[in-house]
Amino acid sequence: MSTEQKDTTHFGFKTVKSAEKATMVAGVFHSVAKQYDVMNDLMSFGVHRLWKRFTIDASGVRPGNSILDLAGGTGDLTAKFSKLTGSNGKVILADINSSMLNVGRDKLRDLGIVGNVDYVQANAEALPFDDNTFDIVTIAFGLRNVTDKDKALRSIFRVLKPGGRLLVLEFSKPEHDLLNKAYDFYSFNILPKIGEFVAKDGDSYQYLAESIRMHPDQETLKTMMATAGFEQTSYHNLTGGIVALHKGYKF
Amino acid sequence: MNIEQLLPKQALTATLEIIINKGLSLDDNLRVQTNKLNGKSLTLVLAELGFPITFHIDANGITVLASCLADDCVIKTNLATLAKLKQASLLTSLIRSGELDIIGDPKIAQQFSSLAEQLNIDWEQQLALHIGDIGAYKVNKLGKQLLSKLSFAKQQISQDAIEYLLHEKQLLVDASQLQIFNQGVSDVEQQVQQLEQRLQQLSQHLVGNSDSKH
Repeated sequence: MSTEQKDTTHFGFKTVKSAEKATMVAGVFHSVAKQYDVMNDLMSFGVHRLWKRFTIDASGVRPGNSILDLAGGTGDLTAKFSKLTGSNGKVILADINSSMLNVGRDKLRDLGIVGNVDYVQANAEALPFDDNTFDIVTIAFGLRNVTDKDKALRSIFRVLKPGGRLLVLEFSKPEHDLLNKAYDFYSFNILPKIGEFVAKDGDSYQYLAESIRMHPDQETLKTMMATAGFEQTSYHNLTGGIVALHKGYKF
Repeated sequence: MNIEQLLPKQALTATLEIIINKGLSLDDNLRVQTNKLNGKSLTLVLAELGFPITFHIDANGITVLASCLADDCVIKTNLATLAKLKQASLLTSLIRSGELDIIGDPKIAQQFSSLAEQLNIDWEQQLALHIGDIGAYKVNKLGKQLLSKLSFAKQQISQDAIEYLLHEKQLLVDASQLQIFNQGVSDVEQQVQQLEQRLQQLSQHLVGNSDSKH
């Protein structure tokens, strides 16, 4: 691989310099932060709430656990984890994007979720936490926006306690061709128009659709997790594989 | 696509969570009671469902999960037995018969049960706040009619199924046939007892004869 190829990455369907991707992704999320929850409900017809519930159910959370909700955005997972881990536990809502973090913090405080939640602006590739800190790390709809996914997975592996687990909830590849075609049509023709109409930002939702297509499929991501050191890696397809939940343990 | 991918368990727990929290938000007394259970959870493992349902209380309300959370109180049973749990006197016999298994503190289950019994929401009044009194009355009336029709349909289907299995397929017997059969069994039992007595008498007679010869 040439140096030039090494220094480039995907930003949707475009090829950009690796150093620039984080800034470009930040631009997208600064733009959509305020409408993020409304758009999630609209785009997924509310099903994203069930995908997140499935993640909580699969997490094996126990009272007193330390949990890192990475790329936690507006804090849907943090809100649930905070209730379940209780006053003896701790949840850290981390996001690289300050706008998303601010929206998340305001939302959770308005919901009365305080006390065991901390907010940290952090890059998944270089997590600012000690080794062996967390029982659970989740990253929901965030990994595809990370520039160096392998580096992020290694960083997550480092901060997990032995026996801890990573859950990656992310868009993936639909299992059936017919569903794939319908999903493609929806993603490239309808979704950007909803984004334009509601969030006044069609380009960001065009990026969303493109970034989903460029994200590794189920088996590839599973292999990447195993390469980073995770054991007993597995995945569950949800809604026909439109979304998949990957899980891996650190022993 | 298998049914699990459509997340029915999560849809069920999400619906339960919304309904319960709505009920709690309408009753201040219930909210005070939930404070006593703050941080506690009750897990039901019902044989019919095949997955656990956990109710967890915190300061903001109830979270319902389709998974286990803690061992505060875990009840393993089936739906029919769950209905019997209101009678505390039956607990020991249900546990002995294997119909019920409780891990953790049973008092937590009783507190959750008491909370559930008090959860009485006037849905018509709540609906009236959104669509007006007349609309809410009509929806409620329609709901009652539908329930009544469903109940009738259930009764009818059950009756038809009995007739079919009894007369068409002859897989079941009716009460009078069962009575005749039971009477037959009693008669046979009586005859066996008489035969036993007769055999015993003959045996004693034979032993008596054999002793007199010696």
